[in-house]
Amino acid sequence: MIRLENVSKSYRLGKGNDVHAVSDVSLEIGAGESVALVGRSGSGKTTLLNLAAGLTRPTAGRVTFDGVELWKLSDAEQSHLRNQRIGFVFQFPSLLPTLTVLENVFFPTTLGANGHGVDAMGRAKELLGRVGLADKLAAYPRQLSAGQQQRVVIARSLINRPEVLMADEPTSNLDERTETEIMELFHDLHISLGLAFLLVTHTRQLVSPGMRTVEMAAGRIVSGAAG
Amino acid sequence: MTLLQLAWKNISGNGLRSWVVALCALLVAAFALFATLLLRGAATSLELAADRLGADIVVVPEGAQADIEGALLMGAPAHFWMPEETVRALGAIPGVEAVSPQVYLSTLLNASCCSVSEMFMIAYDPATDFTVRPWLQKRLPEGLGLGEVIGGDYIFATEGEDGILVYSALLKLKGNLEPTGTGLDQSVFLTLETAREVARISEEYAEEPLIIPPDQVSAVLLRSGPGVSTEELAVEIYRSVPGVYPIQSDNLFSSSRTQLRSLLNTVVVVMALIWPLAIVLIGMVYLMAANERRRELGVMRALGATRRYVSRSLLAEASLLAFCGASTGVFLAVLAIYLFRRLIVSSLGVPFLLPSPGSLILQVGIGLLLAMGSVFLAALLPAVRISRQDPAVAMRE
Amino acid sequence: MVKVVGVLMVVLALVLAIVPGFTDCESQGKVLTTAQGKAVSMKCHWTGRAEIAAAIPLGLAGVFAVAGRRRETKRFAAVVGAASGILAILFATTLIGTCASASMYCNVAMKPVILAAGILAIAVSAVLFVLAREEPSTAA
Repeated sequence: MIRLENVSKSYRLGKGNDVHAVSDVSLEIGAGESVALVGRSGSGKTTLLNLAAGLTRPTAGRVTFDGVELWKLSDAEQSHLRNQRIGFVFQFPSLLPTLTVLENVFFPTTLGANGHGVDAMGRAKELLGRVGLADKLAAYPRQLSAGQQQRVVIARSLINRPEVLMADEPTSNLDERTETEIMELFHDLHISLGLAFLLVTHTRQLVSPGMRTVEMAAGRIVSGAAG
Repeated sequence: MTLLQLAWKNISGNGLRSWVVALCALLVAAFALFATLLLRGAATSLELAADRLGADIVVVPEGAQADIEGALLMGAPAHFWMPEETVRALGAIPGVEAVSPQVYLSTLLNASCCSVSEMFMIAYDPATDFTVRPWLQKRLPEGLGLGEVIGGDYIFATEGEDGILVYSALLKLKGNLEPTGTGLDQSVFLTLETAREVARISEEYAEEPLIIPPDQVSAVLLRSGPGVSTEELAVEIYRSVPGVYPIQSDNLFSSSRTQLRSLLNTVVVVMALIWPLAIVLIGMVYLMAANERRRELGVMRALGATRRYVSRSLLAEASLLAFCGASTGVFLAVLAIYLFRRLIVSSLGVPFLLPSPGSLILQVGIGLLLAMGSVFLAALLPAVRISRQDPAVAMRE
Repeated sequence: MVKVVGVLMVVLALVLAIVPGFTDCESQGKVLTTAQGKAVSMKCHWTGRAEIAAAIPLGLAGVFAVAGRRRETKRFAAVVGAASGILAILFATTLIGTCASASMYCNVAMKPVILAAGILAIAVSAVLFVLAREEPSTAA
């Protein structure tokens, strides 16, 4: 489904000072597959996830989604692809602060061309019920705990029925108990919805059995590249 | 959720920043509209007053030029006299088609005899008059009789009385003229016969009698014949009739026109300072805001918002703020001009007339567009810049 | 935002209470003298005094708007604020009024200030009423 071919990503910090976040990486994620990208801080895992999602342009190499090269698409086409086919869960609190919980979950449907409205609203409520926050529809993000916010983000990531869920260190700001609950939720969703799942984490403990582990160091894959 | 709904939610959630932008829009709109209304109101008023005078030349005693301007524009009673035979002398000058004398009087200051203090009274000769009669024709086809007056817009009958008490004489108020925004609104027009009757009554009953010097007039209104140059006629009058000063109606209110011009210059200078400053300030606020919300906008892009959506959402916020600020500014400007017009007139010394509803709507529209356009312009560059940022870079701390 | 509105209400209350005292005809040295020679205050002076009665509830409403925590409190403050604004306008127009002549200082300065403050009090109270819906309710 998602294929990265010899991708590299470098950032220019100053004169003659280039940071090679990812160097010549090839990776494939199949439909319905569950992959964990592990590595220490600075190993390039987040950058690789961003490259896979089309959130940043590779300095070299190709990124394709179902055979379509991402960076040959227009901005509108790329945005549409992300909206309809990829769900995101970020490390940092990513809810829009001025919208209620329900509005946050509902928000991605207003960006797509597929129409929204009562149907999407009903689905948003259903998803929030599924993550255990049916009683918080009218609350604002500032009124929720970190764990609750992350549940809302997970509900939001599923609103458009994506094919792949990408989570970048989704539990790093959570306590141990909440972390376990969130990871169990991911596992349930992956199984019940048949989504592909790409998890970025620095802790091997979060990698559940059945996940393919891809290890990264210094911007390169050291193991697990083959599917 | 529409773009505007999202914009409204973002505005409500970001207090200080929203206030600064809205306040800038408010100030630009309020100042622009206030200044425009004031200047146009003053200019219109001057035109109307000069028009209403109806004469090509107004002849006053030499040295009384400033007094007559004060009388007609601000309603400050004037007392100056010249011999009645001046009227005949002026009528004899070739090129003069019609002449009509006027006598300027006033009620007493704070006297119990009079319902209005220091009211300007213009006594005209109905036999020769050609300026008052045209307006009277519209209101009173039968003209003014003995003991009857017609008042400017501000004049009204005293409560409980049937007319205006002037020097203990009760004069019947037959009607009011359209407002001019000048001193003519605080004046009454009466025939010379009525004026003399009031003087007669006042000798017996008033605190102080009304004195009308015999065989004297205050001013002579003059109409030139067709094809006659008023400038040449004025020169001829000055040359041939001693002790008088002819004022062409175009030059009437010249000191007010000069004052208006200097007021206009001040306004232009202030606008030239405020406007660019407001745009720069708004631009800075938006740049800072867009930077602060970098991560949030990056998330929106990740969720599927296009670059265009992001820039349009920022511009929608700016436009909404501009609209709220500008409408409030416009409302305040109109309120201030309407409620405080008399204070403005007496402080600035220029006449003023409120615009017609149509003209007001046009000026309000221009004020709104100016303010909204400024905010939009200021927010455009930051909005476009932030929308082009790489989402991954935007989301990085 | 609600707090700003509350502060505005307090400012308007101060304007209503203080400004008429400095802009009525009596402050300009003009009083009515009766036939017996006694000096009597004119209508505008009494209007100025009456405006204090409108200013007090407006000021209190402003304080409640700032300090109150519940939606109901702020909405009540908004209603009181609007009513005070209306009362202020009525005092200066129909209930008591000002001097007859348009050129008297009370009509040139005092009345416009009162009308402006009254109108703004009503507008600001309306804004407060709408904004109060964001606040938590006692019933919640």
